Amino acid sequence: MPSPDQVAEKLVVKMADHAVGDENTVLATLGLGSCIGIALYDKFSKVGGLVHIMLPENPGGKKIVKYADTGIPFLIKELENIGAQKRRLSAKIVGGAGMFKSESGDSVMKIGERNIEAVKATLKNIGIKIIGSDVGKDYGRSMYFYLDDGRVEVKSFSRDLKTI
Amino acid sequence: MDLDQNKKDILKEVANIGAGNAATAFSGMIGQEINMTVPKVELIDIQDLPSITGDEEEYIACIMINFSGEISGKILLVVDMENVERMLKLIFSTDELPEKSMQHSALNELGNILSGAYLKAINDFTDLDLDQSVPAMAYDMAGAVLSSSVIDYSQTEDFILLLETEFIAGEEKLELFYFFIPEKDSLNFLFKKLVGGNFA
Repeated sequence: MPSPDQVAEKLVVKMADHAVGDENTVLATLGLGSCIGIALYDKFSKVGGLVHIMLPENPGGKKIVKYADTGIPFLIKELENIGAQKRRLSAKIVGGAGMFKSESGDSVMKIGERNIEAVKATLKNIGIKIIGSDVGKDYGRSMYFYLDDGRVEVKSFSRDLKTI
Repeated sequence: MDLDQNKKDILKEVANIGAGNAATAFSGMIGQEINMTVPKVELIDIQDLPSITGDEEEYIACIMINFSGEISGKILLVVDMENVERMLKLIFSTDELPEKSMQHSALNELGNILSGAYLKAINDFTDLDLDQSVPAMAYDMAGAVLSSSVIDYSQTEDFILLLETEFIAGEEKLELFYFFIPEKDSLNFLFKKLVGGNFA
């Protein structure tokens, strides 16, 4: 496996943003809490894209990549524009944690869980299979999506590096 | 949203009064002199929120308190992990830290006291009536924690109003970020009360 510094281009995707690239690209998104990073990959044309969504449903907001239900279809269109075919896309999803706890240890916001459900439902409706995921629980994650082979590395403070 | 200089100045004054009182309470709690920065009032793009304290992958502790009443919003106290330990040693006046649950309680209490002092000063100044919730906490990557803290405000908003003060404690120069994040729509009430103007 090539190490990150041998790869030509690394793009960092901010919250409520997206990026696409070819096999010479690494797409990274840092500090996913309740947000979810969705990595879509076409292994034949070796192009892929990453969208960092914050919320499940778009109530009519202009920033469409902020929401699962509008961000994922938008990313697919962008991928088709650079040579991907929708029927060949597969997905890996990371994030959706519950970060804040009360003193008794209960999670105080359920948005992470709702994001996971919405991402799964949106992908299912479109017909894209989830082939890897590291979601839920109570810790933050950074993800690195290598477009040479579609692997995704997940880093966190509380767990070992995980490749999905 | 329009945030003209006049409104900015009002918010700065509110932050100054709140933070001043919180600094006094903080000083009492850790027995150190506290310096504070001039409060900053900023409308920031929600995309930039994960890095408001610096590196988004830095390990931090964050105490979050919701407040409600005539204006509503959140207070966030953010300290990096190294400073948390030093701060706890000052709170307990010891070099050996007690068990985790005690540390947790102490940080909750710190959150309660600092937000209580801040809100009390604002209440007195504006004659508003603001209540605070019990604190919630997170320890993790700054980006993951900060992005999750205000996610409920981002449903229809792409910008967040941030009143920021930094506290620097004692000779050790412990840094604590204090963020007061009012829900923008609820501020109309505050401006009406203070200047009779609109905030839209």
